[in-house]
Amino acid sequence: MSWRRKWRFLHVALLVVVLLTAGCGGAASNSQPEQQPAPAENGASTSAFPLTITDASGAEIHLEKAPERLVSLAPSNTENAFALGLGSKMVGVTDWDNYPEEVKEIEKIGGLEPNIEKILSLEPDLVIAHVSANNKSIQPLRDAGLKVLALPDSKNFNGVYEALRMLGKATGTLDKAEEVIQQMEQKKAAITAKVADLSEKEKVKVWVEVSPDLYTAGRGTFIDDLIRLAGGINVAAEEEGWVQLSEEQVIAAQPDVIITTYGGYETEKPSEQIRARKAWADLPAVKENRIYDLNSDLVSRPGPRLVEGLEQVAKCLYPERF
Amino acid sequence: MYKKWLILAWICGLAGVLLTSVVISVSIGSARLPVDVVWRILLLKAGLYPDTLADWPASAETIVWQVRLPRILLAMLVGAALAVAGVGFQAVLRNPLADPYILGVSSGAALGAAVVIVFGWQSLLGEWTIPAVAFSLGLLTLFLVYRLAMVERGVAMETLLLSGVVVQAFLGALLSFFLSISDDRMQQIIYWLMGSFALKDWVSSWVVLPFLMFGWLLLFALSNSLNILSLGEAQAAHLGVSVDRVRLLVLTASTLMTAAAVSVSGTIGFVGLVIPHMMRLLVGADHRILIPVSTLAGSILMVWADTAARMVFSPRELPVGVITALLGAPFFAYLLRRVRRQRG
Repeated sequence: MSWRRKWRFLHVALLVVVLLTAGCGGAASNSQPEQQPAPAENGASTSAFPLTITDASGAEIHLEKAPERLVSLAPSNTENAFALGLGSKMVGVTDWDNYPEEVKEIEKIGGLEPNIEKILSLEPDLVIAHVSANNKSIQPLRDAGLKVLALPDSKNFNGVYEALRMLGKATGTLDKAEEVIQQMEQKKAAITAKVADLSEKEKVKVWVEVSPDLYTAGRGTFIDDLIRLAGGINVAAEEEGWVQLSEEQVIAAQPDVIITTYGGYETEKPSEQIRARKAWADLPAVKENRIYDLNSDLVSRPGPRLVEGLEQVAKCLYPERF
Repeated sequence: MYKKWLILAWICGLAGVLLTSVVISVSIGSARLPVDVVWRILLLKAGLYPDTLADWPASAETIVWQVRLPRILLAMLVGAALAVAGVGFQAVLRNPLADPYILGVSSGAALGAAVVIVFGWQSLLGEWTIPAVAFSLGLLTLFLVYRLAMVERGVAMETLLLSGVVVQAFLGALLSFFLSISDDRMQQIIYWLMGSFALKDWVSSWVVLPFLMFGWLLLFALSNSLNILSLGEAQAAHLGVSVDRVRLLVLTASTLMTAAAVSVSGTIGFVGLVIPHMMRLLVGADHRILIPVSTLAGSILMVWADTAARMVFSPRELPVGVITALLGAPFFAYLLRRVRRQRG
């Protein structure tokens, strides 16, 4: 098992070296701290089947031919699949799926705990799971005789690319995956370029409110990543993961901008709830009315729309630059 | 039976502890403000400190005056309301397990809050949506329980308790249903259920205060009748107490206090059960003393519980209901053992 991984790594590394020396760095021109997406082995492989792929759960999945009936167990997986042009092959999605429009027409297989019977009845030849969100369901589904591809738990843009590549490989759409990744990278570079010249003084302090009891997004979350890329300073950057701060701390931090991500319903209007908090009235963000309700799917769902989330965050932070 | 000075000593002592607790609580918090700044801000607000010497950032003033103090005051009021309501329920139902939630007030309130959160109706009445809905459903629940227990000859207390159990079970099932379909809002609901004073301003206290005052005065005025009632219903009736009327008044007063407290702070458990028992063990069962003493003790416990909730995992806040049980249960157990041993 481990020798196989090492072998693969060597393989990829070799390819990268070859490509770099051949001067095919391509779009790697402007400042990108993240590694340049390296074309995985079998770069031009729509016809690589049969193939065996090691997924994020460490399982080896053998596929005779490109799967034709797909079930997704997470909204991010669905968005990834649609981005790769696999929409017409989707036969089952979760109750939470809401993007793109077409998912409304697709059979629902349940929420966090998918309904195995329902999935079996759809006769998928590949179930696309999320390695941590669906960790309880993956084994039972495999025991039921289904092929389950567990996509990695993406923590940043590179993680999303990794998931797209894995899905692309398993479905024979790797070329498309590389294309989507290129587009995302370009858009991201265009956005970060607009905020690249901000001095430390010009950077705004951002309070992200994930729930009305003051949960926020610390280091290692997508939102934190997006804020940094968009040239902002996350008030909760010292904390790890999803954490709760106290009201006192938010006020002491004096944020310039407030972003909320829980306004799922029309009636909720988190920004109004925040404006009603008397103790918050003197915060720069409240005084200058810079409270924005963002769609949480855009800023927390590890899929191709993450770059749109970045754009929205950047617009909230520096409207004059966009 | 009691010496006057002993009663006075208890009340003054507890009031002193309460004052000290408030002083300590307001001085500490997750935004590490220097203690002298906190006190200079308070003096400034009291008009005893010149504006010109204010050398702290404006945010410090907001934190002390708009975040910490309102929260502490609310904790005091809610603690008092729950403790006194507990005294009322225990006296009327003559059941040691009675607490302010025993007749389903909290279940109704919790269901109301859950529904508002699940359907995202928070903006219908602004910040007051959840309290208003919780309060109304809490009262409605008691009405329902009372109605269910009513037969021609009036309301028997055992029937009242049982109908409380029935209605609570049903509301509990509904609550579980809404929790199960709440998806990503589940945590919000659970937090509400466990109670919290976070993000509360002065207004919450002004809302609770009239209910507390009304209920408190009514219960205190009836404390003689409650004393007689504890001898037994038949004896009380012989001694000229209008049992049904007293019971209804006490139940209404206690319920109003409970519903007001729960609607702003969530279902904080244990205070209303344990404080009355604790105080009864310490000062005896005379309601004329028990009510004021429980008021102070409830406030003290709640102020400390909230301080702990703010500080233990700072900046993370714990639900205050967790702390009330963690602090209250062992102390109660200790007291129970000690007193039983002394008497036994």
